[in-house]
Amino acid sequence: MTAALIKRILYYIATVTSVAIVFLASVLPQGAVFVLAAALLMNLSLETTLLKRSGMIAATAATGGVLLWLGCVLAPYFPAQLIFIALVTAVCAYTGTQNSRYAYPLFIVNFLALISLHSGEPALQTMLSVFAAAALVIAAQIVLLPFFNRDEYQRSIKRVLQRMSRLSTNIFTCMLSPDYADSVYLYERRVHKQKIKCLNQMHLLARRELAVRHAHIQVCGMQTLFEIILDLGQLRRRVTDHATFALCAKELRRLAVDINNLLTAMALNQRESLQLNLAALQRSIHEFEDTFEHVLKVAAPEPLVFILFTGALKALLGHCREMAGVAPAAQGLEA
Amino acid sequence: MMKPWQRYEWRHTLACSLAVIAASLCAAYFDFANMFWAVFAAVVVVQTSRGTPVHQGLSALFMVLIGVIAGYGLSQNLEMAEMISVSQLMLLMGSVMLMLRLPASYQKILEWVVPSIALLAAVVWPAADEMQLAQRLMMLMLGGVLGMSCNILVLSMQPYAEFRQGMLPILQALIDYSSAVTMHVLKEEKNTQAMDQAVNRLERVLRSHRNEYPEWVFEAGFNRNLRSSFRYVLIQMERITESFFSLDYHVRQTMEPEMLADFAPHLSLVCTRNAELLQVMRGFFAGERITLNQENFTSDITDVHNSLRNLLPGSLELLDMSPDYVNIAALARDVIDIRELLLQLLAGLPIDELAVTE
Repeated sequence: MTAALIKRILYYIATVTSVAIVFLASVLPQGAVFVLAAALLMNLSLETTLLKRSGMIAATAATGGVLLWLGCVLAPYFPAQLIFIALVTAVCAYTGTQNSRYAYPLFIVNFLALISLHSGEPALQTMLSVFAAAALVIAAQIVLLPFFNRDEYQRSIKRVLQRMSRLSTNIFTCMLSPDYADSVYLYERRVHKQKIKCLNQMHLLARRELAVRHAHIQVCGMQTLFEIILDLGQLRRRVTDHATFALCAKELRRLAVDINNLLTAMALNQRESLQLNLAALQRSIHEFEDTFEHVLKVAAPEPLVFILFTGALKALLGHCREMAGVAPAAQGLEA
Repeated sequence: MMKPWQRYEWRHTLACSLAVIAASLCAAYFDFANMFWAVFAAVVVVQTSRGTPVHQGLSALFMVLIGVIAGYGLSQNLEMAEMISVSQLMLLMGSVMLMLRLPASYQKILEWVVPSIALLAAVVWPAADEMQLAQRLMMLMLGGVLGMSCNILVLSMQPYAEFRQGMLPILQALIDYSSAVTMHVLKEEKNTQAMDQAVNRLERVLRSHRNEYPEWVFEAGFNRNLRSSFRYVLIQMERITESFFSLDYHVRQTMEPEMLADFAPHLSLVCTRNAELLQVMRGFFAGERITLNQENFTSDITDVHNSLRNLLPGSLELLDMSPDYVNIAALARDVIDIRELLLQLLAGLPIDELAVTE
């Protein structure tokens, strides 16, 4: 559990509790709209800075509230209300497909406008309930999510590395599974999903890094790491006879485990574990080189691709060392 | 080229609006008091991706129905304070699950949020008795069916055209990246700004920021007749993009200028020809007339091999003497791989119908 996770969970608990208390105390005449609006708005916390987050919540609530008010005003004239709701839905749907980042806020706006169809809602009070819900959510964000960017930035780094670890595991699984050639689609789909998740996490990291005013150091490092992992993955396609992997299955399995351990240690930022894992990966690379010298160079139809693979492994090791700030000489565990 | 009304965003907009209108009119005819529930269900079930609208629509409708029934169950057995506590707890769980998956796609967000909202709505607007609950459920199902019908009739009209349209941004991004690499390797003063922009564009397309990438082909339950061919093309494209990412890594490595000077012209020529093949593919997917010249696409690869033979040591053992040797071999291999994959993909496309030979 990181600080960011604990804070987020506390924020959710406090927000839902406050909403329940306000609703049960019946301070607001339109409690139902208040509860629903707060429930939707509290999940709108993807933006980076407090100002942006508050702005997004306020803008969503203001648009939704005004549309809800208009819908309620038009309620006595059913055809006009119908056209109005259809238009709001159309605009929200179109804008949401144009920019997926705003799809959820637009869904909230659309949903709030739909509430006007619920019979017997007074116009002004419903709008004020939406504003009250937004005020509560913004207040909860201000009080309960201090140092949001700093915490989320650290969490983003961890998440990117965890995703990279899963990506590399999936890539090695392709090489190690005997049925890969028969079920290429199945395995490639898994790799594709992990790649997209990595890219999404890296994008989020870039946004967070910009917000905490770091000079894109981590993002560049992660980008290079991502490219090296994909470079490693080229082997699964370059080796035309999949049975070749059986010749070095033990070494590949060990490499997969060591890379996974190393990336996990980097995610957890454990210094001692990092050094041990770097040394372990280096040993595994040496073992793979030995197998190449004695087996693959003779038996594999395309020995060059294994040299390129070894080059990528060494690049991965070097880059991880650089990112972790561990000098090769300082390790003392060189094979 | 697709006409504006054939584009996904317009058809999705049309499907959503029609679903709302149809659900409102039907609810007005059958049960005016429960109109909100019909329209709510209609709006929720049309918020699907392109691949499997029925499957996603049904699961969304099912979750909404469960939420409303659970809300009724709570309202019949508990006091208001307990009801609100339980429903807020459900909302809390949904939000925490969502938070653990961030950044989630829009569909995933709705998957976690909408059932909680349906439950909350059923709690704060409780049905008085079983009869009212039954009417509410009927309206939800009516709205859901109408929403899904609109989605099927309007949205999944032309999966082939959708797929073709979806391939254009990724191909354009790869063409731009090829041009940036060509410029980069030929310039003596290395400036990676153009490559950074091109690779960012490529990543943005892959992330499907504006639904640009036809990722919906990978969804479980996608049209059986189309999926094998679509997925073949997409997997080949995945392999090509992976090779591009690998190329991006190798091309950014610092190498001895003398070594690169001999190799760069050959490398840039292969990249240019690769971009030409990508252009041909882009033309095919855009439905444009394609001009095929009679050039063969192997002579430049032979030149790269010859250049490598002069640059690199003859024996494999000596290749890892210098990181530059390995890097240059990897660079060459990446561009050759891209060429092979492009030729394989082009060979599988029915390109002859659009082709004009020079």
